[in-house]
Amino acid sequence: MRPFVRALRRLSLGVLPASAMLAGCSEDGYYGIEPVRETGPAFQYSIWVPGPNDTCTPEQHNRYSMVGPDGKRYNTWHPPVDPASGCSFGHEHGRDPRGSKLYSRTGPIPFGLANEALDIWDAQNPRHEDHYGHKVDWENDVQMVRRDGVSGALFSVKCNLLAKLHQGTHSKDAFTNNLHEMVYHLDCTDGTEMHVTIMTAIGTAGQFNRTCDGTTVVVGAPTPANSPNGGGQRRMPDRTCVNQFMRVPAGQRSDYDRALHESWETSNSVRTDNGRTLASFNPYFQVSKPSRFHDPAAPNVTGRPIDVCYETGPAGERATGGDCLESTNNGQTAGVTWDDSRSEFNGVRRFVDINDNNIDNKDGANVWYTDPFGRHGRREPFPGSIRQWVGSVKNDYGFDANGPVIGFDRFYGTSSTHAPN
Amino acid sequence: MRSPLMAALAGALLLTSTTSLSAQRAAERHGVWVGAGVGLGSARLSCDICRIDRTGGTAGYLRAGATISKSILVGLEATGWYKSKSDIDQLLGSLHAVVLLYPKPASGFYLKSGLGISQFSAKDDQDEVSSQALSVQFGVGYEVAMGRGLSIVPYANFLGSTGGDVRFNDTVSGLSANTSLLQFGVGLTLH
Repeated sequence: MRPFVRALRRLSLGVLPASAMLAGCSEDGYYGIEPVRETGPAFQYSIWVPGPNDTCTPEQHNRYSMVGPDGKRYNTWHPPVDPASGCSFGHEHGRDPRGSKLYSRTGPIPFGLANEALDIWDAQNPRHEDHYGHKVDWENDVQMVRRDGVSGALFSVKCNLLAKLHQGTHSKDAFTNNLHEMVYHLDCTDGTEMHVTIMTAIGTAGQFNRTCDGTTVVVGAPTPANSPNGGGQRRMPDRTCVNQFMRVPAGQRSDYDRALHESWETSNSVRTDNGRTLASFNPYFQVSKPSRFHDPAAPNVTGRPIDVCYETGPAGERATGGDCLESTNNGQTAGVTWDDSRSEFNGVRRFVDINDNNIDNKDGANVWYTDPFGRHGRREPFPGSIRQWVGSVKNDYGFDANGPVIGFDRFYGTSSTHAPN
Repeated sequence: MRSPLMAALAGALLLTSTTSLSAQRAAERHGVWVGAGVGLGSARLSCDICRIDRTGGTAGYLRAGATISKSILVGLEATGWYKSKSDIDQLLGSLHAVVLLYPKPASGFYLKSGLGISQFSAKDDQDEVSSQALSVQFGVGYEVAMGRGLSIVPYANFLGSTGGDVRFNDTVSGLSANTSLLQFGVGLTLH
């Protein structure tokens, strides 16, 4: 069966046959998802509708779908422009996962599997996310030991990483909501291996940390209301940062990165029912040019960087150079709106700090069923559980074996890509 | 460092070969003996995440002991290997009880084996990686008599350790590492 499944994946181009897939996590290796019968659509399936300038239809969009291990149909990664028809979806999901060395084992990534599990685990407190925010990144043969220093001279650990985070940077959602779906596949030369799908809690619900100075900004009630607080933080832009670093006095240039940079710094773990941590990892997902910032005076408390290109401050401060120059000729080109493909503020520029990947599971079982947050891991499935796979190793070496930044120089959009993205 | 050492080794080997033509006999072996040698060594730290390449450096030994018979010598031997590169100093040392066996007592050819402990360390100005383990060694050499109990000795040696815990600074890591050392050079032995 497994060679057949792998051959099937190699042939798949995002458009999967109606045969559904099941997570095939055996004790002798991770083989991703194997065929299972389709039972119906996931809640987040087919929720995308084309915008005014998007030329693809929902039917064309839904051709990029798959059946998850729960038997439900999910949307999955697709290119920003459909290669078959040439139509544009207007949004992108990051790097094509088929280039990852892990893809032959993982197959396509279902978008929203953990959200769907949460619907069962805690039916009164669902967390549904939009389609745009699912962002994929991967890198093969990543050196995890810094080459300088003693440890770098003696040791080497290389990993293949394939990750997906729901990271919407176009709406007010993440100002309050800290729960976001994450899929994390990692396989390293030292036996470190994990295949994890969770709702990651990033920082404290109901608030975020201001990107330019770290100040906590309390916004309001999260969705769901019982969102657990997590480690890490969500550093996001707000009007204070924009006024300080984007609108600048005459003769200065805007510092868009300090004004708008987003860093979603996750802290994740897979734990057993008795609280023992089997695996932990803490990648940071970063966005350079989001299409929003927090502005209490704006509709939906959501300000738009592109609008700032047209603003003049009380002392004549303006956004100049860089992205405002490219998008609006420093405000001279009228009518560029936040969802215009001419706007550089579209969330396309992203990168990931891989950071630490720790496993403490020497000689332990590989397959664990956890709740949607990666907790209460048991050996048998239960309602609302997600199947996780953790290598039977302990990889604490006493020195840092953490990954570098990936994706910094990549551009995932096209000329037709625009916010919401 | 390497070129002068190579020149010294070449000179010693040349001296040995010319001497051996004129003095095809072994030095007398009796009583207490001492010896020392220097040469080149190739060391390797082996573990699940170790880089696979061997590293060349300078190696040598000091040893002393007693003569059991014309065919058997016993003693203690300290071996060292050193490499410094990119501000990282690597050192592999060992202390072994050794036995030297001369298959033909009239000949200077010997076989050597030993058992003891080895310690590997690599450090820069911030961190240190170290590992200590039991080790064994096997070697061969040829003592060419120079007169009055003095011999010049070209030699080759292999040293290998069992797996030992790797320490990173003061922390015992989850790693187990073996060390190995290939060395050859020229020494002197005085009986």
